[in-house]
Amino acid sequence: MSTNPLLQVEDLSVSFHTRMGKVAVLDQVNLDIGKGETLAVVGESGSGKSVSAFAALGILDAAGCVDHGRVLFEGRNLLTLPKAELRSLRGKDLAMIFQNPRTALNPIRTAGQQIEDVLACHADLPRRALKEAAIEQLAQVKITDPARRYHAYPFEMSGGMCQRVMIAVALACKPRLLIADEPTTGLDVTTQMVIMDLIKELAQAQGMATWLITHDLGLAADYADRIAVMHAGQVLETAPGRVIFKAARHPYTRRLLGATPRKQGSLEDLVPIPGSLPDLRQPQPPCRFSQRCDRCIDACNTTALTLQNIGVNHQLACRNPL
Amino acid sequence: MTALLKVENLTKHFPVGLHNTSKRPTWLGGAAPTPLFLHAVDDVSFELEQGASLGIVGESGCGKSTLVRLITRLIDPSSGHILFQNRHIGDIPARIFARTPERALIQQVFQDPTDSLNPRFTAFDSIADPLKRLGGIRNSVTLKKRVEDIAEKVSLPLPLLSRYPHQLSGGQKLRVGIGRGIALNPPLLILDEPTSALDVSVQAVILRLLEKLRKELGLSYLFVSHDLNVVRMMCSNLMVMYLGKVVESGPVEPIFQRPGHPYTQALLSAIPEFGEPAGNVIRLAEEPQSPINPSPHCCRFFSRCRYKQDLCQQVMPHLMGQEHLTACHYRLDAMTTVHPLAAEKHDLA
Repeated sequence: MSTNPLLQVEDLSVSFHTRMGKVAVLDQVNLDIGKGETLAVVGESGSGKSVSAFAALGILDAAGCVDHGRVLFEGRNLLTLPKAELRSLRGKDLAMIFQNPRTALNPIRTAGQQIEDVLACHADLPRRALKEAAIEQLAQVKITDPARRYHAYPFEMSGGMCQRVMIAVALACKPRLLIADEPTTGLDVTTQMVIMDLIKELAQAQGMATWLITHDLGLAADYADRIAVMHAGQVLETAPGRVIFKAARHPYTRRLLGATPRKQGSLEDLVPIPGSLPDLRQPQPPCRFSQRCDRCIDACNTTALTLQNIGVNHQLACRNPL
Repeated sequence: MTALLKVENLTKHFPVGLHNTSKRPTWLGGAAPTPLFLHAVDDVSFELEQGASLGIVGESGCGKSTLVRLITRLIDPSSGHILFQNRHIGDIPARIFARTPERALIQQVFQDPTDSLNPRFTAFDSIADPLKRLGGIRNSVTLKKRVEDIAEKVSLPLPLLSRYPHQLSGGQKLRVGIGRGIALNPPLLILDEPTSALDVSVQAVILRLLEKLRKELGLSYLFVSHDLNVVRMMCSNLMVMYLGKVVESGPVEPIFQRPGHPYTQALLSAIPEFGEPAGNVIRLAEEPQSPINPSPHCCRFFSRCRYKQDLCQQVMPHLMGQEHLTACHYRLDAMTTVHPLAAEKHDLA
């Protein structure tokens, strides 16, 4: 746990009400992000990585409801904040980059207008200064010829360029915390690196904390200070990247590492994770990984599971760790 | 051994409109507008042996998918030849190709398992469709037997055959897609980013399945992928494309160990490496050049290259070398890992 957290997610439980009944998506999620720190949340799809971020920002789908828990941002609980106050925080102090830049940007407004929208809402700028500020933002995310790109619509730009515009929109008001939800999923490896470098560079320049959501362990290792591993709505292990790769204690973390293709690896080295994510409509045992785990013992299915500190910055939720 | 698939100087240019060079209209003596072409695939040649697997990598927009669509004969090439089992299939118009016997011999597994399955077909229907249309199986008992055999080959549990795509998970849908692809025992299977929509845990299972099928059925793969680590595992040969051109090709290991082209070098250095600090990462500046009417003399990678010289702008480099081919005037030498020009600059410093 970092000593001076900017954002603390405490025992957050979220469920969705569907036609097939209640689906308990998040189960007592605990995360914390320090000032200027980069935390990567990794896990398979459906593990609740994005939902935890949506819940924290109060932008959950209408079917979703927070059952339990708190999200503290500089001591204020975002979940109980009045709507107007939360709205003034979102976009200003808390910003988010979404997975697919093409669908997240407004297709009928130009890049410049979309940056101006955020500035007009939150920054104390006269109307005349907006355009200049928007162009400056575009220049900051290293878009060549920003004055011309100010007038460009999303369809006129490449995927990498759209992602830069989205970063410019998110960072327009110099937020304290940036949530990046799979920011490079649809991009090429070369573009991915450029975008991640840009986020890292701007985060360092502005002292901004980053909550990086990704399923790519390699990416998390390269860019995050700490990594939290999630499975089926539970945080199973958090540790600095180096520790995750060298000395992971949770069986799921090891499994995930074993299934990721490595630079020097062969097909024989690749070990699939047995089973699939549990059906969250059914009541779950305390450890939701227990049915897929080869180290499962009786205690896994009886006693409640909590994250325990087991070392410097290293937390683990497992009854029978490696 | 003769090649299963031989592609010679294959080119596809898409017309994208006209460019007016003079302000005056033609009837007032102005120059006629020049047609604009998007050079999607430019002069690509390669061979694929029976039972081998060739990986194609490159960034989006480099012509990988157009190349695949040319080989599956969904579109007609502008020029060049495609020889499949020593038969020219490039000259057959795409509309007629759908009814030639070769249609059944070249099959494809598509990128997105959700979009590529008919939502109103059950898994059984999807796998049975090519058997009915191209395999000519009419007898429902034989058909059922064949589909069940195929489902077994791709480890798809038989009860799932009656389900619709929305009732299947991503991995299961991909198995249906692969089953449909191998239904007719085609010698050539084209895999267009087969695992990019899957989680690593499922990806590992699918990659192993594909390798098993290749060995058991003697399939040849044309493997298009973003993930270089996966290509290294799955393929024996590799082809790197950049803006419609092949910039490097050859056996996988030499390319990974000693990339000859600056673009390949940048691509390989960009693979996230975990556990160890990243090595010398090469960052590509700027955006790629426009693929519309590019200069026939200038190297396509010129604008982003670290080693560019005047010569690169005057003479288009061609693929050179034995086995491991590189299209660069200043090939990052296989013997010395330092680029000759970089070494020169280092000496001066």
